[in-house]
Amino acid sequence: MLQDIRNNAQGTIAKVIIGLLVIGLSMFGMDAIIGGFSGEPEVATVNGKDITEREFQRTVQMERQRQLSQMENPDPSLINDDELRNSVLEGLIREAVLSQDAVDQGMQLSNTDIDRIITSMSQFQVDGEFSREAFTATVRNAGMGVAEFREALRRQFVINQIRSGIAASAIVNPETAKDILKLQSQTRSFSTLTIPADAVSASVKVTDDEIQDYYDANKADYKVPENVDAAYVALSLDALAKGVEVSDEELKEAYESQSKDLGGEEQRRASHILIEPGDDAEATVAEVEKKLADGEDFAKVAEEYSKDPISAQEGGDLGYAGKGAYAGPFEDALFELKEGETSEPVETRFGFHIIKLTGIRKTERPSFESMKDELREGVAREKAGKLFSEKRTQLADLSYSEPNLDVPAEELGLEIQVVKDVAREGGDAPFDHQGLVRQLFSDDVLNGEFNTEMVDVDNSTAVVARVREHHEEKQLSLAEVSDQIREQLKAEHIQKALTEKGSELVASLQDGADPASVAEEAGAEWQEHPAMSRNGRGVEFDVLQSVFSMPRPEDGKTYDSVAGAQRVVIVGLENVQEGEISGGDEQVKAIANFLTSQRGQREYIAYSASLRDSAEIEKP
Amino acid sequence: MELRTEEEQIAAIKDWWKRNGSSLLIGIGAALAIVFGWQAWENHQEEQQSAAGAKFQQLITAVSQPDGEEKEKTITFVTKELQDEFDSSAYAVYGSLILAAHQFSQQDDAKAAVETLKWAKSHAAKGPLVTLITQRQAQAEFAAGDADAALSTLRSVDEPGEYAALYAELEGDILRSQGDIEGAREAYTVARDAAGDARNPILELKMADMAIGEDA
Repeated sequence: MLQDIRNNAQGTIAKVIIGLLVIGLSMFGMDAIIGGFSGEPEVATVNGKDITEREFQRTVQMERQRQLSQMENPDPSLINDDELRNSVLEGLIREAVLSQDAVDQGMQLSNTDIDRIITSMSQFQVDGEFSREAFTATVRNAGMGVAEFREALRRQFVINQIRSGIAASAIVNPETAKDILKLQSQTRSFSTLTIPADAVSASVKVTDDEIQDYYDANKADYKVPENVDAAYVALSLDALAKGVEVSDEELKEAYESQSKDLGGEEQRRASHILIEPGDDAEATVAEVEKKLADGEDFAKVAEEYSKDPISAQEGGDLGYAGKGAYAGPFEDALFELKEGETSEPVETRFGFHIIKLTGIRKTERPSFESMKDELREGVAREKAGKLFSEKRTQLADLSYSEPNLDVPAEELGLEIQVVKDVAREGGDAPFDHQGLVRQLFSDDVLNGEFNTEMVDVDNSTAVVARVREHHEEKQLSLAEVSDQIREQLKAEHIQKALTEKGSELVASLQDGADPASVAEEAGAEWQEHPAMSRNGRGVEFDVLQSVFSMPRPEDGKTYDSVAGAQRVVIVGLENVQEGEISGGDEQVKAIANFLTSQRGQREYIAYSASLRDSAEIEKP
Repeated sequence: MELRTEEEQIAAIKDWWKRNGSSLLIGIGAALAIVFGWQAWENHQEEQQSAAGAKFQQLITAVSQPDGEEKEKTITFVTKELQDEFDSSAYAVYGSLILAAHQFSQQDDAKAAVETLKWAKSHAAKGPLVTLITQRQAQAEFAAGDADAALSTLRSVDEPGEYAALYAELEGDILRSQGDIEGAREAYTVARDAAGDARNPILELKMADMAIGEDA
């Protein structure tokens, strides 16, 4: 056997194999050959290219972080994981399709291009220069390797190039824009005749048989959803804070530390002249110093020389500020000056400053009395905070180890409260918290004898709940709902009768019946609405909408009717006044821009959807 | 064939080398030539793409400048360079789309936009991009006053696919301007149906004005 191999190794086949290996290795590197066998698990394949599990998980994480950061009170249990994962996967597929399309079109960035982009991105710049530390830190925070980040950036960049190529280059005929403007400013003159529901309600009858039939046909609508009666204990920071004693010493101490931020601090008013660093900086500094020494007004010199444009207009004035407002060397110099003195040139990263101290003041502290209540609350909450976190841990442990709420309630001095009729969609507080409700309806809690886990329903309230009673979904009997059905059917019948009445009247008016006598017969009066615009007032929205959807009258009036639950309105359209362009070219331009950008968006969406349609996508 | 002594083994190797040496060297040489040739070609491709990309980026920068004659000149100049030097690159196509938009709305020259779009269409890769450019060409022809050419351009595409709503709405606009109310009505209805759930208030406005109801 070994002999055979040795013999064959000299054969042509072996040479071919070695040749292929040489070519493969030199072209694609070791990774391609090894990676080909050990491949990472994938979540989807787009045109034969994998979206890896790792990339997917990372994007899910990032999206979750993003959603959390947008919440007022970040709470992971409020995020629907399935939805999140689906939308992330769709997004990754869309991105893959677009970036493959870019590559197919030969839109690739070279490594040099990528490097140039990275080094010029503002988030990687420290003091105006590219910082390798800032770069690697950002990349690592995103959970990526450098190579991976470059790849992602490469993809994003070309996708954006295509987007700006398509979405920003749409065109729309300006005549179309003018047309739309005219439509929008069109007015119509019409009259309305309103016939109230009373006119037909006497003729409307709902029989018991009808109710029975309706109930039988729509049984599924008359159910009480599955729900539970839930018991819970709530540990709240506010409640704990109320029971905390605060001594006068503690209040004084708090006053001292807090009122410092509010006042009593020394503030200094500075003026400065900024000279930017550069070849002639020193010469300029000398020039400025000379002028000042010669007794020229600081404000004037500042106006002339300072490269800080805002303060220069004010004669260099920066206003009052306390410590911590300025860069270190600036602050040190400022706080060493006596009032009216001017400093030596001080160097900061902005350049050279010549500083003048023009005023000193101390801000006033609010009085102890005026702050007392606020301080008491703050101190109490702070003291209660420690207690809260201890008790919170205790509550978590106890409610996990005890198969009831009694022990945790007793140990922690909490009251067991009950909320009835909590459905899967939620119920009264604290069961308006989706995360808590989801726990309540989990198998262990719903069927077994377990408590929910402890859930923080907001920053300062922790809740543990359990199910007292579980009510399955229940069918309501006919007797329980017949009144409700009767009302509903009655309303439907009335609207139907109103619609019929409207059509009848419209038909007779179109046949030439006298409008005045039609009105008299109906016991109502015609209202005139001359030259109403699309967003005109005094006419109900549904009526106005149908007025503007009616065909133009050719001779005489056109009639239509608009029925609702309370009334039917007969509309007689007299004439249509074509709109005018009042705002001139500017207005046309504005609407054309709007139409153009809208069309660009739609075109880009259609483009990306076309690619998606023709892509081969597999989800294992 | 058991080889007994070292001399015999060396002799065998020498013998083998005599017979196969030259062909092996040629083989290795050829493999290396292929590899380096391939890499050089790839590098060249990459350089070309990268240069086209840089030119395109220059165009994007020009677009973001404040409006004015100078800006329009730059856009026209850079796009011409893209078209002349990189006519096989997609960047030249996208550049042309941008130039056409500027010729159309900033330079008020719809005819020039038509020509630029024709260039883009003939250089774009087959598929959704061509479908996209075709309806823009029709839009430009429509604005240039040649509604018939616009209609025949639009109708040259049998299957607008995802663009169906955009095609039909434009067709409706053209027919409406020609006074073919019946045709416009039909086209707008197609546009509304093709758009599915996505609402389009502008289309609704036009349809309402022509008294086309929900059930049409």
